[in-house]
Amino acid sequence: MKLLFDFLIKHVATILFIILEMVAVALLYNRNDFSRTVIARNTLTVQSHLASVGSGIAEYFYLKETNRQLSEDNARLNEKLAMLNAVFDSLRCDSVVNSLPPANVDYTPARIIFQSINGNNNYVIINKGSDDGISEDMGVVANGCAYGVVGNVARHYAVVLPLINTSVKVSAKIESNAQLGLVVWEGGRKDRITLNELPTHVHPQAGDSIFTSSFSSIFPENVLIGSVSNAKSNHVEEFSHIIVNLAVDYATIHYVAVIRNGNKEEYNALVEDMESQISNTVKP
Amino acid sequence: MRNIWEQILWFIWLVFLQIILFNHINLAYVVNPFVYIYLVIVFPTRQSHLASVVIAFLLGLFVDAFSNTWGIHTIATTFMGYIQPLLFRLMAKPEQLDKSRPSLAFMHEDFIKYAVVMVLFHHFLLFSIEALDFSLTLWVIAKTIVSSILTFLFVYVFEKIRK
Repeated sequence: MKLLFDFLIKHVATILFIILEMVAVALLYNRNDFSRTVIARNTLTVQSHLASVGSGIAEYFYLKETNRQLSEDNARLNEKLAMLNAVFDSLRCDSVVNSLPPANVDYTPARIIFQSINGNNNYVIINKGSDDGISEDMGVVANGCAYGVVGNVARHYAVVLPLINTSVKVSAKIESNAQLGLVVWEGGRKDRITLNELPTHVHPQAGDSIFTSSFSSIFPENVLIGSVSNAKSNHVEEFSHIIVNLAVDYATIHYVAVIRNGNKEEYNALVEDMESQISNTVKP
Repeated sequence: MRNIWEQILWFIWLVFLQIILFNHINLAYVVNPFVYIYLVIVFPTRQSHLASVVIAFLLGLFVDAFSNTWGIHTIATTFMGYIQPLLFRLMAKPEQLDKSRPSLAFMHEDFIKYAVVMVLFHHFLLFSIEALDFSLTLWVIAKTIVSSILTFLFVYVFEKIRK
């Protein structure tokens, strides 16, 4: 304390000098517009330069922390992206579902994760399986149009046989006259399918729509299959068959919906019961 | 005691002269004599350092107040008040140090050297603070030299009269 006091006494003139000079600079700054402008400009330059140098140095010390924050952000954003993608997927599938006619069925949205549509035994694999309530012979739609039929089912995946598979047959009808037939694919072009088993007296017009019929436990009634390509029909014995342009473009479909018919088991049981009754009456 | 009154009278007289007369000498925007610095040049040898600083500050403040140049004269003059004893001790011969004040009568050419350094120093500081721009350094130096010559002439005249 004494040392400090001695120091102050010894240097009182210097200390006072510094204080008075500060007062004078304050006067210069506060009372002269020109000086203030110049001083402010220069101190701002120096100040911002120092600040940028300082923050540049400080950045190096925070790199680790910044890195950690960035990777955390990244992880969180990726998580969010995955979540949003899932929502987006289901929305896309929902729009597929919503464009369908109402029926006593419900739909399970699914995404196609693999497809093989270049041969005759075409199939695709979807990301829903028996755990999601998918079982064999369920109908599959895309964009509100008939897409295919579920084949083998695993726990989390299922094989779908598209309409362009030679083993798939779907009951169909012509919109204009409600004539029934059976659509099958006979190989060849992937955008065409054949409507068979039409009576020979039926002459559909080009452009007539083909829908699923009510005689199917796979699809509900009135799901669009395609439209008649040309009116020319080829006669094979007592049936004619016509070419149908498919409504579904298999090359561009990524989202589908699997149809679960709530009454299917009841229907199947009824059919089984009926058939056994018939076979029983026939036997004796 | 006589010294103090003499100094106060010179203080008033110099401020008055500076404001009334020398502030209006502005030849070709280059020559501005600041004769009031004479008071600092002839600060008494035995005056305390503290008193030198305070008196110089007040001198600068008064000149600023009447010239509406707040701060410019105060900064330069306070600085001169602070270094005056140091500069005097540095430039005066040992036998001149115990005189009552730096004066032409006792120091002759040593006083002229000392006074020229003081005036140049003060004017350079003053014009620098006024300009506040390093790109004007040459202009400031030119102004300093030309103005210092005129100021020194008046300092010389004061010393001759005072003798």
